[in-house]
This record gives sequence, structure tokens and C-alpha cells, in this order.
Amino acid sequence: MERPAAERIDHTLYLHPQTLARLGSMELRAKIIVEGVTSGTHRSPYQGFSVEFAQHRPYVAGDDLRHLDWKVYGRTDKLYLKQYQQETNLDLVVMVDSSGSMAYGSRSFSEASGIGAKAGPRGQVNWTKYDHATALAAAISYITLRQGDRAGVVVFADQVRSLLSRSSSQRQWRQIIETLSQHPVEAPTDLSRVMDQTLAKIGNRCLIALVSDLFTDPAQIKTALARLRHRGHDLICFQIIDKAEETFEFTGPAPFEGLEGEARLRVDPRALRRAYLEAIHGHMREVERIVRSFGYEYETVRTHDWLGPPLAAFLARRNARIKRSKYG
Amino acid sequence: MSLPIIIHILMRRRRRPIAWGAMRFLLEAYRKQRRRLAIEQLLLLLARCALVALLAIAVGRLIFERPGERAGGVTRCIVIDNSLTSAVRLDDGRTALRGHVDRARALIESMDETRGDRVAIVLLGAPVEALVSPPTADLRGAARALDSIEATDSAMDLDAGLAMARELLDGAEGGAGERQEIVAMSQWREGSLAGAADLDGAAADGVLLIARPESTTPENIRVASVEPVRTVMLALGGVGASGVAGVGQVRVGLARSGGDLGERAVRVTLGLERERDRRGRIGDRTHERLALGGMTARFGVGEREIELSVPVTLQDLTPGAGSLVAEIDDDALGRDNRYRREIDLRRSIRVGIVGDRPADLGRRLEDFRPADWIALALSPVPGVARRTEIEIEGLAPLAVEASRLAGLDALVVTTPGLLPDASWAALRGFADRGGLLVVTPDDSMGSQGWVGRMTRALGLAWEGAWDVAAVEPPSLIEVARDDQSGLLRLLAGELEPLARTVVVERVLRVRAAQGRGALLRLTDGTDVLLADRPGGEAANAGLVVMLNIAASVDWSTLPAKPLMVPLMQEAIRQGVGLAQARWRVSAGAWPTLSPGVIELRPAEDGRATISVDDAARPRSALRVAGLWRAVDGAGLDRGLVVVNPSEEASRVEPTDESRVLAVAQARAEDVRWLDAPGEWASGETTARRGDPGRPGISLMLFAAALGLATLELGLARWVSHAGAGSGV
Repeated sequence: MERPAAERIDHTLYLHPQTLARLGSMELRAKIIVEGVTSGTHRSPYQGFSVEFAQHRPYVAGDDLRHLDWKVYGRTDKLYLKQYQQETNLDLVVMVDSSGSMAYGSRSFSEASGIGAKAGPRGQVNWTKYDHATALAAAISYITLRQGDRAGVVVFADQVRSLLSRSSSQRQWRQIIETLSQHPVEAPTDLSRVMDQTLAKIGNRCLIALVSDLFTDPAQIKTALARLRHRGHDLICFQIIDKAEETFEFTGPAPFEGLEGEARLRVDPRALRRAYLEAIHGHMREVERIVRSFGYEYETVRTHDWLGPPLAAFLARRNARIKRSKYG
Repeated sequence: MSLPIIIHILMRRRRRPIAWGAMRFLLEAYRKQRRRLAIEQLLLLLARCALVALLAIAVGRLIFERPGERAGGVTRCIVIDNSLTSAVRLDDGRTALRGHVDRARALIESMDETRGDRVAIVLLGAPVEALVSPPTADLRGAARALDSIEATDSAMDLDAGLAMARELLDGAEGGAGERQEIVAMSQWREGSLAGAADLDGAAADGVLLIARPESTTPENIRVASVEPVRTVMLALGGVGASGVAGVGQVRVGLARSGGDLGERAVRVTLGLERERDRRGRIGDRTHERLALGGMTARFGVGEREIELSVPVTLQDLTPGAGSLVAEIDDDALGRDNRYRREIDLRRSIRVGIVGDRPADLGRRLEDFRPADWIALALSPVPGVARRTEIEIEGLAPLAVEASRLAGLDALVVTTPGLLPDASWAALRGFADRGGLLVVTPDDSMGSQGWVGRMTRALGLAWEGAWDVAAVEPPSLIEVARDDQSGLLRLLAGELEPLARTVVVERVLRVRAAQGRGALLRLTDGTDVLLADRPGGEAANAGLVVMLNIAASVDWSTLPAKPLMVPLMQEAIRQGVGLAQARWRVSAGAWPTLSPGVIELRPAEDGRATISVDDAARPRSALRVAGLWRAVDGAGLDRGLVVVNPSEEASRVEPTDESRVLAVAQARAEDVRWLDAPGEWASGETTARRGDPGRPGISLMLFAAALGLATLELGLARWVSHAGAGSGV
């Protein structure tokens, strides 16, 4: 059901026209052949009778005579059937983390959104990691839908908070934005549980875009990705990091309050900076190592950077790798 | 102290909370650093507490201290050497003392009343006295008081002066911000340092600023001694129309110090200084100085001491007591150019002889009683000596009473066993007034029980058997070597051969305690002649001479031997002089006078009478040489007090800085040189501006607070890790 006009989200808040323009000419290709219900630009894992020839096989009784290669029969008097590489559509599932830690942002909303808005739809004046994740999700969804592929969204924290089924309709992108417009919750991420819940809803193999700060136990991440890998899905991992989190350049003593229900900590940040940076950078390196160990793509996305350039660069690198694997 | 803690806590509380996403990493970092952070915070808190405490104390001191203290006032005790040595004149004609006074005045003028500076002044001439006490802020008044300082004839008592200075400074109600200093001004010549004994103990706290020693070496000659042949001078050449006349010899000792010790001639003059009644006006006394003679003394090269005999002529002098004064020409230190010696001019000596019958030299020798032998010894030329030099008066034992004794100079008791007890008390009074008492055993008694009464009545420390003992075999007399009384001094050359001729058969074995005071002994060690003052060693008047042999041929051959005459003559002539009450002391001493003396009257005009306390001590010190008469309650003279310049203080040789420094450092922990007045004034200005070398307590606290603040800043920066690199 469509939301009332007053509650509708201004989609341009998250997908700046400049970002869209930058992404417009790009193709989002699946790294591996995914199943799809419609033909598209992506290779299907099923070799059937689509338009792109794959190989010949001997005719057996009962085969559809429409797929006989008559030219081979004319030259060799042997019956061979032509087999084709079916090109199907891309099913993209964007998993957006809405845990408490995603509510942090040090960049002003007006500066980050690029359209002059001083506050977000929830009144927030800071451009949070969740906002940035929403923008990223919108971007890749837009690209997917524009290719005619299906896209869906899963918003999660300690569990799946909301889920939008995959669709390729023109209204899907708007619904994706609206789905993402909910608040982050004051709960930690439980990625393995969320992954179980998500995989239970997905029948065919998909490209899953995980957009999260991944401030969770690396072992949990590893477990979740192992299940994902086991089910044959592809994954692009976008780790969202705020610049303040990455540099921790606070100058004076202040109390810190956790966004996921942690205790308040009164400390001079300068005194802890070194140890903190060691901890967070160590965690990010560990996450990247885990993700890459499963053969998935990993990309750090910083909230202070424009979404377009890093996303375009990421897609360019990804497509280049797909082509290399396809054509040798 | 709670303030910094509250601030410390508030500083940590006042910031608004920061909602933080990556809390798990912050908590992880905190868990790793928690212990270190706690220590850092504790250090920071302690530093802040200390900083606030220091500031509070420093500010508190500024608020609550007196205005003078707030400015870092100085309380200074100036100790000035005004001893005999300080009277030495330098090349410019000024005395050293004048230099000290000028320098002290410059020092006082450099001080600041408004800052709370105070000054006290102590004079080091012994006995030390406080000229300005307690420390006063009236600096002008203190400077004026300097004009009244005069040199003494006593030595410098540095230790007593420093002790008094410290007492004054300790008693000054100064705050902790006050500086206290002792400034010692002296030329530190040998005479000044002579009394500064080596100290073994730890030096006292405090600052001692000392003037640098003077290096000039003026020559000083002093009169070291004046020794008349006898202190009682008799009319040797007969009696003139109105007084004593005659000639004599006086030995004068001279000593010199400083200079180049080259040949030097100095004129010595002798005079008589005394008081006497104006002619025809009893009680109206006048001071007179009479020239007696003189001669020129010559020092050879390198010679430091010489002694010369100066002939004196007594012409038509009124009998009476006075002082013989030896004086030399003026030199660099003029105050020690005069030396006094008490002397008594007599027409004759009146001697009473107590015997069982009056002495009669007309008897046959075999009928001579002891009194006769003694009278014969005292008047060997019949009819001459009795009338002139020694007048003899016979006394019966029962006639020995105060009224009969009043006109006598000496009393010889040959029958002490016949004296009633009251007579011994009268004899004690006679001795205390300066009389000479000669006692011999009673030749007719075997047991001399009177000895006990005598020793008790006269306060003599004599002891021994009271029974007459036979000397078996008869013994000779020999001279004891410890004649400290000087009674037989003039016989010293002939006494030994004379004594060897005497054979003693009987003796009374009364002996002096510990052998002290024995003049003659038997060869077996038995004392023969004893002399002591009645009342013991502390007494200053009277003399008791005990001859343990009766003047009888039954006891010894003494009466018939040549020794008898000089022995008795000297015992009387010298004994009368020794028995007279007189006190000859060095300037600065406190003589103990006889009981009954109530005051000392100066023989010279311009000096004040000094009262005497119940302990027979003058109430003010005798710092200046001179002649005083000790007067009792009846207004009668009880003796003379002769004060001469301190012998040790007259040495004017310079000392080197190392010695002065050693002396000072033995007495104060922090010793500094007091430089020239100009330099001192500039140094004082520096001190007034804050004295970086010795800041006040508040200033030090502020400096410490500043240092601590710097430390706190550094510590805070270190604790905050503001300079920590961003790289990981």
C-alpha cells in the first residue's frame, strides 16, 4: 500500500542526480550466472534454448525437434541439438544494516545530501552511516532496476526488520527508498541470524549487497558469509565508515554513549586514540580478510566521500573482473 | 584541598555526551588502557591539588603577612668589633672602629623601613652588649646610636656576640617571609681573633656576613707589665716634711706586635695616679697624677718583648693608695700604651706582736720569748726601724680585739693558745679588711688545740695533727717550689742557702690542703711556712701566714739563724702589700669584690660610679682601663680596682682570609663576605628587588607554583596524548 503523500520520502535526498548521472551508463553485472525469470543481459546458469549458442549434443528421442541443428544434419546426417546459454535477469538483494551504530554520523546532512536539505526525513541534522547506506542501496537498486533486473531490500539489525521482495517494476525503486526510510534501532547487529532469516526468503541465487558498518563480531560475519557461500549467492560487501570513527580526532575529554545500549564511557579521547585506532582498523582489516577469503568483493565506503566516484570505481573494477573471467 | 578535586571532576563532567557508534572499539581500547589512564589521572589530580595548595599558601602569606614581610623585609643584626684592637689607627688617621661605624651606617641607610627592615646592633668588646635591642624599624635612630660607640680596652668576644645576635633575631617577631642576617664588622686582627676558640660542634644555622680582614700591618707597642719591688712602698730614704720620699726601682715590661719588628726606641715614663683629699678639706677628693721617673727603652731587630728597670723617685708624697702608671709614646694603638699597678705609699708598717709578755729586746737571749725573737727580726737595729719602717706594738692575748687591731697593718700571734674565741673572730675581721696575720705555735704547749679554732674562724683549708711533734732526726728546711703567693719573691735568690742552715727539732704538723700554699718545708716534706687568704681562694683581701715552728730555740735554730730576719721582714713587708684588698683585672672582666663593697668609684673624672650587687659583682662591666675605689656602705675605701687593657687584644697583626673564614664557618653555616660599602649597597638593591639568590618564602612558593603549573600543563598534555600521532 502506498504511503500518504506526507510520509513519502524525497528520493533525491539519497540519490543525488549527480550520482545517478554518473551511474547511468554503467551496467551492473553479476559476477556469476544467476537465475532469473526473465531474459536479460546476464548469463543464466541453465543451458537451455536461449539466444546465445553454447554447444551441441546428440539427439535423443523425445527432444524438441525445434532445437535440432539442421545445418549439421545436412552436412553430417547426424542429429544434434543446439544448446544455448540462457541470459537471464539479475536478482539483487540489498541488505541494509539499521543497527544502532549506523545512526552515527559526523557529516552535516545539508553538505552530504547535495541538494541543500538541512535535515533528513527523521529530522537528523547529521548525515549518518544509515543515510549513507540508504543512498548506496538506492544507487545500486536504481542501476539494477534500470537494467530491467529485479531488486529487493532487507533492512536488519539484530533481526530482519523489514523486507521488500524483489521486483523489476518501475515502482520498485520508490518502494525501496521508502523501505529504507525507517529509523535505525538501538540494537546490535546479529548478522548470522539475519542471514538465516534472509536466505530463508530467497529461493534462487542472487547478488546480495551487504551494506553495513559491520561493527560486530568477526566470527559472526564469518559464519554468515559461510552460509551465504554455501547457498551459492554472490556478495558485495560495503562497509560504511564515518570519518570521525576512522580518525577519532576529538580534542577534549567527553563522555561517550554507545548507540547500541553500551554503558557511558567518560574518557579523554586523546588518551585512547591510539588504542582505539588500532582496534577499529584491526577490525576493518579482519572484516576485509574474511570477506575476500570467501571470494567476495569488499569495499570500504566512507560517509564523507561522494557516493558516486567510489561506487563507479567499484563497479568498473567488478565488471572488469567479470569480463576477464568470462573471456579468459 | 577539595577545590581542585571538584574542579578536576567538573572538568570531566561538563562536556555533553557524544553518541558514538564504534563504542565496542572504544571500550576495547579503554579496557586495555584503563590502568594507565587511572594512574595518569591520579597524577594529574595530585599535580592540580599541589598547585592549588601552593597558590593558596602563597596568596595566603601575601594576605596575612605583615606589610614588611610581604615585601620580604630583612632583620639584620650588626655585630661591631669595638674591642681594643678596633682602636688601631690606620694610615688615613681613622681608627678601625670608625670604619666599622661608617660601614654599618651605610648598611643601615641601604635598608628600607617601609619594607619592614629592622636592625639590631651588638658590640663585641667583652663583655658584649646590645647597643640597639630588640631589632628596630627605626633605622635612623639605630644609625644615630652608632655615634655613641666607643672602643673598649677589652678583647672581642665573638661567640658571645653571635649568641646575643642570634638571641635577638630569634626573639624578633618576624614572619617566615623575613630574612635574617648577622653582619660582623671587624678587621679580624690577631687581637680580635685571640678569643675565638676552635669549635668542634656543628655551626649554627643562619647567614653570617663578614667583613674582609684588613691587611695593613701597623706597629703597636704596649706596656705589658709594671712590677714595683713591693706594692707597699716605704720611705726608703726617710720621711720628708710632709710625706714620703725615697728612690726605688720599677720593672716595666713592653711588648710589640705588627710592623716590621725593626729597631725601635720608645720613651717610658712612670707616674703615680691617685685620689687624695684636697689640702685641709677632708672628703673633697681630687685626682692627681705625679711623674715618678722615666727612661727610653730600645727594641732590637726582631725583638718582641723587653723588660727594663725604671728608677723612680718619691719626693714629698702624701701617704696613701694609688696606682703606679707606666706610659709610652703614642703609636698605632694608643689605648694599650698605659698600664697601671696598684701601689701603697707608707711612712711605716705597724705590726702588733701578741705574746705572753711584751717583747723586750733588752732581755738576755736565753730569756727571749718568741715575741722577742720576732720583734728582734723585725727591728734588728734597735731604735731605728721601730720608729720608722716597721713600728712594733706589743699586745696581750686578751687585748686582741677589733678596736686594737684597727690601727695595725699586721699582727704576729706567738701565743695563739691563749687567744679567746672572740679574738679569732676579731682576727677574721682584721684579715677581711686587708690585714696580715702571722701565726706561730705556742712554744709552751704540747697540744695546739687552737689550730682548729683558727682554721674555722679564718676559713682556712689547713689540716693535720694538732700535737707538737718531735722531728727525729732533726731536719733542715728547704724551699717549696710552689710559692704562688709571692711572699718570699724577693728572697728567691738567697732563700735556699739561708734555709739550709736551720735545724728543726720540733714542729707542728699543720699542712696546707693538697700542698697548696706551702712556702718552706722540712726535708721530710712537713710544711713549715704556709700562706693563704682567709676565706679561701676566692677571697681578695687579707693574708694568713702560718709558721709551724715556734720562734724558740727549743724548737729550732731558726731564731738564731740569718734566715730569721729576712724571713720575718719579707713576711711583713711583702705580706702587708699582698694582704691589702685590691683587684687587678683585664678590661672586660667581672671582678668579685669583698663582701660589704657597695660601689666602685672612678678615680678619673668623667666616669660613672658602678654599683655592686649582692654577689659582690659590679653591675656593669669594666670595659675600659682605669682605676676604681671599692667603697663600702660606710663610705670607707675597701681597696682599689685596677683595670688594664686586655693583653691578648692588643695584637694588631693582620690575619688572612682563610683563617677568618674558618673561624666564621665554625660558627655559622652560611658565611659570606661583606664586600665594600659601594658593592654592598648595589647588592642590597638587588636583594630589595627580589633577591634571586634568597627569595622570600612567598616568592619561592609562587616560583614553585609556577613550576608546578608548567609541570601540570606538561602532564595534562601527556595525559591527554594531544601529541599522539594519528597513524596506527
